[in-house]
Amino acid sequence: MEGAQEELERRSKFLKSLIQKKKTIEQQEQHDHLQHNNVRVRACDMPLPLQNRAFRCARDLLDSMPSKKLDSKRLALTLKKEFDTSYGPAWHCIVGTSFGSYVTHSFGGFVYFSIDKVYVLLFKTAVEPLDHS
Amino acid sequence: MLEGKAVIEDTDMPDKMQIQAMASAYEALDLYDVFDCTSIAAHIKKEFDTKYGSGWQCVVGSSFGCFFTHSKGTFVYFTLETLNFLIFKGASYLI
Repeated sequence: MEGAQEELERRSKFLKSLIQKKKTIEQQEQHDHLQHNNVRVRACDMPLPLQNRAFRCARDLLDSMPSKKLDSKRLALTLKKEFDTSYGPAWHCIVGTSFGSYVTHSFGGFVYFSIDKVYVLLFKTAVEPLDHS
Repeated sequence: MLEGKAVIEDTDMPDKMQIQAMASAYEALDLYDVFDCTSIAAHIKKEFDTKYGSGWQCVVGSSFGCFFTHSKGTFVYFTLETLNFLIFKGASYLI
């Protein structure tokens, strides 16, 4: 019986170390990814895949803009539409170099990050059924 | 006094609500420094949540672009002094 107990403990420790190792690798990959794209997360309540989707979308659009002139509206529109399409309505996006905001967002639907010299706020609100009155 | 200095750029809000939006903005600017955009936005958003139900959003600043979905009749964008103000209600559930 003692042998079985020891074996269980050993396996438990092994699994825990595997999980921890995986988390560490994931965090390192995320860090490398952010560094490479010049992205810095300022505040966040969003699953990693959605974050990465936002960063990639922003990076791609900024890279495609001629003479690096910032088009805040276009970036905001692109992000909002992509997220509305992929993750359901309703997303809202604010992009700029100088603004403050105060919002209420859905659980898991909020990210505030900077990329190059521009700040991006992307968040989701629940959608109310249409009033048929 | 700042009354009358705000300029409505775009809105689909009832007149009375527009007036409340500008009044909240004046109040916020009395309370906070013009550079403290987040506190100004917070003041206005909380005022609207209290008066007109939850789910309001507010953005204040001198340089931003945005895209959003708002409930019908709940959107206003105006300028006051050096700042731009955006107030809207993203549809929300009341649980």
